[in-house]
Amino acid sequence: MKIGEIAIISHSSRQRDNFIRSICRKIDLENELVSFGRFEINDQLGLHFYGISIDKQDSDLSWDLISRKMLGYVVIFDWEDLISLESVKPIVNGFAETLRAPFVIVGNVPDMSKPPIPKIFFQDKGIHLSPNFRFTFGQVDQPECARKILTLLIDMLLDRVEHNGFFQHK
Amino acid sequence: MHKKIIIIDNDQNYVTPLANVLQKAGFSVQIWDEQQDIFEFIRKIKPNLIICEAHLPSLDSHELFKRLRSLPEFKSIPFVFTSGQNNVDTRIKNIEIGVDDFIAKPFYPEEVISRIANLLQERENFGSYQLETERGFTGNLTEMNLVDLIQTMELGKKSAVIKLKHENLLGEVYITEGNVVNARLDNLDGEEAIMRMFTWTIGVFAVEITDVNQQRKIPKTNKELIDIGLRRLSSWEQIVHGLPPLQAVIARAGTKESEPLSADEKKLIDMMPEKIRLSELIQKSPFDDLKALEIVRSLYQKGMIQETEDSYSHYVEDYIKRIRQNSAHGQNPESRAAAIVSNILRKPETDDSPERRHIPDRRLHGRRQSDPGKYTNTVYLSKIELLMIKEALS
Repeated sequence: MKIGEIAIISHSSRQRDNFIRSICRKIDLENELVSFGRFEINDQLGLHFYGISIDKQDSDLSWDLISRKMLGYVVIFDWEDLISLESVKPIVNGFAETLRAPFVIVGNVPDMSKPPIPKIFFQDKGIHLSPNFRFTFGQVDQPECARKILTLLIDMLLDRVEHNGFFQHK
Repeated sequence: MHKKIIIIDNDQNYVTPLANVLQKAGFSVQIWDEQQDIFEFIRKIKPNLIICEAHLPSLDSHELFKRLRSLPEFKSIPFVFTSGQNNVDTRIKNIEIGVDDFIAKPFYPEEVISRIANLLQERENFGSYQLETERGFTGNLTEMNLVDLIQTMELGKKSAVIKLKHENLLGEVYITEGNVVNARLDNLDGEEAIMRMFTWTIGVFAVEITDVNQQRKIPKTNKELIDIGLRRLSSWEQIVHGLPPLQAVIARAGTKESEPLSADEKKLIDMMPEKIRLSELIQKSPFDDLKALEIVRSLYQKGMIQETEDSYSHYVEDYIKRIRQNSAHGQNPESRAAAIVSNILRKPETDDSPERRHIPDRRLHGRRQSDPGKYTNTVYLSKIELLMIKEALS
């Protein structure tokens, strides 16, 4: 079975678990440091989700090992919470320097029917920050929204496939 | 069709001549009669603008204004207060509550016409965007200037027309798929037009997301334009720092002529009327605005021009107005969010930014810092597999 692995990173374990729960029927492992969920496409292909809380992992996680396997990353912060934004900024900036996988940065909002900026700016492909980074808004505990965010990540991977013929982080 | 203006005032000494002047200027004028229900009257007329005396015995005009602003059908009608109580406190108080303008009595007909025409033009230019957030957004240049707007459009690779309003000037910047292709400002176009607009830090903007059919007249890349724009802004701010506020009224300083004037200085001082707002002088000058500002600074340092006594009230009035606009703008989540996204989260794009060179986070550095970028992913997925995942997610 071929597995694609995706890291869901947030300052809040509740937030990251809600996101994984929106995609997977159940979470196989759930603790403060990390959570894990599976999403099976068919018997040959599946996605594994690793939920990581950035304020808990400190230096304990071996990003060099984890990142070898990651298909991509979803970084979530609360749009209306400056502390949450500040907590993801160094991570995002650090990842940008060291990792080559695609990132979707999500500003979590309580109500997607009232997005902070006109939807036209982020629907479909999100806001382009760099070739590896897209930004979008989402209500991460809503399954439909979580799927859209993941679709955005898959689209970024597909863009690479279109360019390279196959997917490989370089 | 004539623009409709309602006058709410019971002082016939002002109402009749004001109505005459407005009618002569091409407006359709309706005067409120105290016997009529004010809301029914406004609803019936559907005015483009309301002029209201601030102190009426039969009507609490401030309460009227507040109620109109709270009702969706009336909230976008420009509202102008007039008053005979012409002290700074009254003017500021009226502006603070959010009226669009305040005209002190006695007034000059030309001033009234000019201010009303400006307000109506502004509403016409930008009003239609305010309710159409799906097609664009509006905001204040104090918070997002042209450089920020171009960067935001570039991030989203959008095609759009950015309309900028500064004083009584209206400029447009045309963007195709995130790239600036042309700009217009009065009789200028291309680079000449956009360069002037880069220094506008006061005023409003409206962005309309739309297809743009414009020939490319600006060959420079966005990065080149932004570099120039930032340099111009920086020079502008440096020069402005040593001058009276742009809203200040200035005048020639009599016959004082201790130092010889350059040809450009002479040209500018010759075209100055007795009194003029500094911003207006720069606009009207035949020079590029940055050059005009430099000349003004030189004249100011030589003592050839000076701030007038009535400058203060104009300045305070404009300042309060700006604060109010900014405060209202601060509550506009669209512009605020766009500014935050473009200014904070775009950091990953600038590979050589100082923030990136000095990341203090040991979670990603320390022992791993010696070999950045080595984390090659060994997962291979084919296009078909990715499409299958996408299909499963949809």
